[in-house]
Amino acid sequence: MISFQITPDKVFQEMVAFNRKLGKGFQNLLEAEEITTGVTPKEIIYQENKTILYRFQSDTEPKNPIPVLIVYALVNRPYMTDLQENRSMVKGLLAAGLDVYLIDWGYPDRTDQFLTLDDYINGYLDRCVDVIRKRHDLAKINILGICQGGTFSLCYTSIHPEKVKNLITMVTPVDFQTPGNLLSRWVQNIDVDLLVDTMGNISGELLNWTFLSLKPYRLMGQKYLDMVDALDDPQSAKNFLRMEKWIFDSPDQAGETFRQFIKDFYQGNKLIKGEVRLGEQTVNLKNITLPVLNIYAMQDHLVPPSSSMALKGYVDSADYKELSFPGGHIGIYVSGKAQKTVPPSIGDWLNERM
Amino acid sequence: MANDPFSWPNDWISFQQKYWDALGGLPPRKTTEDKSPPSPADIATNAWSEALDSWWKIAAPQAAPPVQDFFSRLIDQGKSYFQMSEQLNRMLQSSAAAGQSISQWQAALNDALNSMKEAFLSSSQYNREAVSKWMGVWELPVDHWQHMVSSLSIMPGDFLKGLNTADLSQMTEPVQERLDQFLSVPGVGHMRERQALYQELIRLGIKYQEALQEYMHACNQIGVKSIEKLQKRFGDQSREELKIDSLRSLYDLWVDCCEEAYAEYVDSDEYVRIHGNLVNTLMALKQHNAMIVDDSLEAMNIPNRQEINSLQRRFHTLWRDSKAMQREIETLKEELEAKKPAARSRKSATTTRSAKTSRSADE
Repeated sequence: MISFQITPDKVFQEMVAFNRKLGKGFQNLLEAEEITTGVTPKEIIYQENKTILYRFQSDTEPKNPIPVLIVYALVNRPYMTDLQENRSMVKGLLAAGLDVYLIDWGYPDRTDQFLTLDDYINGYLDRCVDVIRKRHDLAKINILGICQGGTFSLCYTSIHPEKVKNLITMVTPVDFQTPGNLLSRWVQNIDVDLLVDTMGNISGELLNWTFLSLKPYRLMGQKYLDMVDALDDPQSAKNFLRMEKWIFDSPDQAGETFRQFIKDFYQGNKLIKGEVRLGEQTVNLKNITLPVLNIYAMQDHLVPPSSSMALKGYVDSADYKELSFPGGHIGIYVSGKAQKTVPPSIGDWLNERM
Repeated sequence: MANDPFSWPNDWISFQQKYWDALGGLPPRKTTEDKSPPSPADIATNAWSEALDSWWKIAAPQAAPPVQDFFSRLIDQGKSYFQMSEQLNRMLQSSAAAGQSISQWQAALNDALNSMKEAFLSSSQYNREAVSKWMGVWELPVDHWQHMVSSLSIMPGDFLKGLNTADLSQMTEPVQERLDQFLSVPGVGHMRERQALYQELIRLGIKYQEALQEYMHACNQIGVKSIEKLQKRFGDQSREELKIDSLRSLYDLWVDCCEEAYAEYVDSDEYVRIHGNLVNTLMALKQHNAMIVDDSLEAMNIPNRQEINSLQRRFHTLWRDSKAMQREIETLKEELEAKKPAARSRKSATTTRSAKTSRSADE
């Protein structure tokens, strides 16, 4: 039962307050300095076409001699892992004594439309791993794959297990057809060949539309009204703009990679069937026998937990562990709760397996 | 309103005060004796949200592009929120004017929601636009699709949005007949292929238009379901008491209902088909369009997309080959390097042995 206690007077007062905040928010935004992202100093270690391998700098020497490579998704930008001073997974990993590298795939353009998954995984990713191995004179390094980057890491590890010491997957889709996976449902009737043949690369706008369409009223409507309250405070205004920048900062996707990823993974669910082909090789998750830490978010609306948790049944690791995070797909990197729990857990897990 | 955007909050609030006073003639804030009641024309317009729009047009150039983009989205939602508040307030005012207690809001609100439902189910664009002034949030999925299509097109917005296939077939049967005739005319002579290309373009355009209408119709259905959910929430005695004591709490409840109805529908087979059809028909249209552009470019002796794609494909193959060779060379080098110390130690062992042999021979 609803008790309705709105009066014209109340509505008026509410709208006046709303407008005051809107005006103040606009002033705060005008006065806000440039929105910066990626707060931890880093150096370029290797660069090939648009792909850049970074190494984050730390004030202290790493306790763990085996570096960890963060493999981010092609969708959106990797600065989400290092968004701001108090919301940085990278800072948390450095504080846990790790030596942290990250791959930035850049913004593909029409010259990259024929890049394949094989180019990304057996090409760029493998060369980055080799660079790190050589720099540290190690046979194996640690890999932390995030979202689609986690799927890439699984494929990579299954083909090159001799180069990976420990594998961490975060909010990673494995079984692409579990119940509640709306993205997967929606792409089933899409003619991906027609899409890629027409567009060349897949535009970031199309991806944004898809992601925001998962919860359109909240993500395109209510969120902005919520923000009117936050804009009152200059710091909150900046934080919000930073997130907003990230959400709409969607690189186009190399057409051929997108074609295979949607057809093989989403439509064919071939990863769990052991039927994904990368160049001359077949991805078999059973080849993964090394220690695996699988982290997923309980309220993830992009990658349902069930999709990530399926991994347990497909790898052959005797040292498999799961970590569930009570939050969403984005909150797992940036929420205050995540800062306190996720990077330290990764650090502890890796430090126990040096 | 002043032209200086920085002085806007004061002007803005004073404007609102006047507006609301004019609209409602609320006794506590009545400042002049000769306040005349609002005219129907005043009520019909959403002055508050329109004023916000006007202000934003003046203020926007002051802001950097990222702030502009973000604030535009915020203003869009703000306008929708204002419209909702205006409509709600009118309803509350009319209840009060009719001598009804504010507690009779529920019947009034229910009437308003029923009108919305009728408008959703109507095929008239005008009726649907009228609904959008009331809780306009329901339009977001379609709106967002049109923004996206616009970003992929040289045409501003989705230029086919305004065409309603249902209306068109009912109102302009002769037009439809002519179109069908044109599409069925077989091509002859040396322009045959070109004619067929343009006939196909029109066919694909119509297919996309139908798919878009179907998508918009699906979104209207979601709108109807959302209203039904809202009505159910209002009347549901079994739920624990939910206090709606602000416009914002009403808005949030409306969003909850919209999301719930949306989530149920978009997981259905019907929606999956409609969604796929929307994307596929748009792509078929774009692909055909690109083919016509390619033909024109070829006629002008300008490299077209197909040719550039071929070049890029060749370049990509070369790049892959060169990477593979580079790797092979590196592997060979490493193998060579690895063999070198062994070869050196073998050589030095041989030298030592022969020196010893020669020494012992000397001895």
